[in-house]
Amino acid sequence: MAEAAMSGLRAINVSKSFSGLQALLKVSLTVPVGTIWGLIGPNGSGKTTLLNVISGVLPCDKGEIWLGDTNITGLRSDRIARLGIARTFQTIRLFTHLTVAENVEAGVMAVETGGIDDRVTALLDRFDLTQWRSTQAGALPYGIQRRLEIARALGTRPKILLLDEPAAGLNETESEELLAMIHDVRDDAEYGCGMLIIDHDLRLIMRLCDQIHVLNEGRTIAEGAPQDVRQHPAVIEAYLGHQEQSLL
Amino acid sequence: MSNWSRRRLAVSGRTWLVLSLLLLLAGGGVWLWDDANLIRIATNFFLLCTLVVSLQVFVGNSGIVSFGHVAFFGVGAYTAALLTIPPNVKERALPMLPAILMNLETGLVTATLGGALVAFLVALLTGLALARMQEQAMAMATLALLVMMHAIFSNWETVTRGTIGLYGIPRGINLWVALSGIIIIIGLALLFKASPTGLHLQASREQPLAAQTIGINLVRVRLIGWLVSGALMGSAGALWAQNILAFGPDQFYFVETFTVLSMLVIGGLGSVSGAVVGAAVVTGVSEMLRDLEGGFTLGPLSIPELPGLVQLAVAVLIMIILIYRPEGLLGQREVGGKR
Amino acid sequence: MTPELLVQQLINALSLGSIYALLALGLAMVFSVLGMLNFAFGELVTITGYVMFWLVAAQTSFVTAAVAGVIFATLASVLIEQIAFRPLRRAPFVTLLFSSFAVAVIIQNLIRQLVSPRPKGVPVPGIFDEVWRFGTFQIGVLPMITLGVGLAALGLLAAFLQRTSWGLAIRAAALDFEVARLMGIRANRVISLAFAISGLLAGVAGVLWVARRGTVTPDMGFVPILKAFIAVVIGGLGNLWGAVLGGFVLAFLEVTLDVVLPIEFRPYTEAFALIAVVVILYFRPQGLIAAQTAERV
Repeated sequence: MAEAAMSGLRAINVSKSFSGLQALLKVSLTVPVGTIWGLIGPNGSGKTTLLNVISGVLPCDKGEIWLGDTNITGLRSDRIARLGIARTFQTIRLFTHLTVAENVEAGVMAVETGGIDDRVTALLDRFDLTQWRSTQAGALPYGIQRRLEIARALGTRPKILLLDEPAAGLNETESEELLAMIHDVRDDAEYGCGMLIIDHDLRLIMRLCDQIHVLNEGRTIAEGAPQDVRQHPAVIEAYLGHQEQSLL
Repeated sequence: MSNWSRRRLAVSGRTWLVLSLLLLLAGGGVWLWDDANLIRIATNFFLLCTLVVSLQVFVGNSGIVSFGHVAFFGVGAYTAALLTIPPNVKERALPMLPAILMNLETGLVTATLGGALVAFLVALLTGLALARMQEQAMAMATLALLVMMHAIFSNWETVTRGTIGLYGIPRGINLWVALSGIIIIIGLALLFKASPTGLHLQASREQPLAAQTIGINLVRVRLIGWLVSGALMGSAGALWAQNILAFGPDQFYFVETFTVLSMLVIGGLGSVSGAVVGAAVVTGVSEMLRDLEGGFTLGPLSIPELPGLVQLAVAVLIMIILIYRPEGLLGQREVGGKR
Repeated sequence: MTPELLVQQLINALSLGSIYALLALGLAMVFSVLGMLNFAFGELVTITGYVMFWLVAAQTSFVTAAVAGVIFATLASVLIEQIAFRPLRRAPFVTLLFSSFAVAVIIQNLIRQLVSPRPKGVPVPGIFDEVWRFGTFQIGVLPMITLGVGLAALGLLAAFLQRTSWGLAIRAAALDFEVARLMGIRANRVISLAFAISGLLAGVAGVLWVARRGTVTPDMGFVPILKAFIAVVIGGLGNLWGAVLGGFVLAFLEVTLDVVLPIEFRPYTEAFALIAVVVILYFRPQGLIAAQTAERV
């Protein structure tokens, strides 16, 4: 476990504010390779901001972010991606006019140096996308688009995968499929990685994640195994206080 | 080449063969027909295609409109002119020209490559700054590039002869040379489209942010696309100069920019075949209307001179195509290639 | 430089700046509401010019002709939006750009066909050429009128935007169109209004432009749109008051370059101004004053 932590993601005392509004305050978080972490909190608690800071989409004001023994604080997002952090977006951001194969290929090409076609074929096969291979990404059914976005991210062979509300907009069956797929990815010999997942569906998060990190108003209020977090008084307070979904 | 997709390369190769064959048929047909006017139109059409296809390399793949590419076209044309005009003509037209340039007199291939090289250098100089900008800011800055280069063409009397322009370029172009030129340039454009950088540039066109988060360096891919496209545009200008034989700075300005961009829009921005189709449609419409522009008689009616009729018709055509086919005639499709 | 010359150049820069500011504001008005760069904007200046040409040729007074010119530009702007841009409302940036480009070419060539491809003179009142003298100071009447009309128009528009509910709707739509729509603002009306104001500004600027040149040509809209465009870029895309500022900055830049540059570099004044623009864009891609909307990730 200690070794896995060293090769994983570490955010140390990360702070970020937007013109006076404190979006993140001294948040620390460790995601070892091979584990699934959930990131939850009420709306506006800073979840997506944390993902943006880790993936280099936004610079952070204070604190450090490490991937394994590399300090990635302040690097451009494409550098961070090539070093091994991939992500998806809350609103799907596929290359809509490119085909499914090209979407995956763009990710594969950015990091690989040979055998591109075979890797793309394998990846499409692995995620059940082969039948859509030559379809324009924008023309895919919504659920398939979500899956493609994850496949594209995994094409870059990440050590850490950040998923921003991967189940948003999916129906029950699709959510179940996604859940099974994410579990499979964690244990996959080839694409196995650490994952940090934001989702609003707490039932899903509780079942999916090994560990959960809870943010409220930019601060960490709890961290631990799902059953512990569920009973944590600060978490219940934060959720009920905001009149969000009840905790089961 | 190790991270190229052979699959996409093969698709591009097929498109290249089909397009080349079609153009070859057109060229051969015109040659057999042996009509001087048709040969002239076909030659001009091939040269026009080199222009539109070169522009497509940047605009089509990056999705960023460039108003500045006609400047590269001009750079290529001026370079070719300075390389090919015989020294005795230069001595009269450009007496202040530095001796090295004065005594140069090269052939078609050198002049064309020279045009590409100088355009490449100008693209490098400007691209280093432009490629760092955001998409819309970059589009605006390309407009500035066009105006700046026009000011240089019009005022650098020593080299360009100012607003009067240059003359005396030997004719290096015939139907077959023009045809070879367009086949080569289409090949290079398709090769770029199939390359990893080409795919990454297309990805950045669709979703710049997502492209970055899968490891694509936006500045790098945009700069490379800009350079390749600029160099091709320079070679297109060099070829054109050796067919038109005399030209001035106003041939590299807004009307030309609009014309070339409109061909691209009509054909479909994302497609090399679309660039050719767009050039064909506009050439067809222009040739049909050109005779009318000078005035004509229709039964008892005598229609006087109609200046600007061709431009007007092309603009109306664009409006109609934009409204009914916002992605152009071909959209993203290429001929001869299932994607 | 003598103080007299300095004052003259200052007034030149201010009067030129107020024309540029009107133009830039007109262009920015549509950009901020619709996110489109309207290349046909320069043709509104042309339309103003030709309406004035007809009316003045028909013995109408210059002032009447000017008012009619402004009214026609306003109507034309609204009409162009309905015909050429409304069917493309959801189209991408590039498509709208070309559509407006095409409209510009169509108008230019229609004028070429229907009127004449050659320049036509518009006689301006003699008073415009006069010069007021205050001791050693000489001040042209036209620059003062230009400055006065320009500032009055800008002031009235500012009052309209700040004080009326329609002004509020425009400002809200400029900040975030979707939110404005959610707040119940009627999209089509706001867009029509934005185009009307844009046309009005082009008309006022057009009158001043014609008064300076004394002639109209089919392609006369080119320089105004170019200046407006540069000013908008300097000021910050989609920012209304930034555009006004950009207009004045551009005018000061041009007048200064004209005074400072050695005579042989004069032809390059525009090029130097553009280099300045590129430098601004390089360091501040959002312009001097960034628009207040931010892309959500």
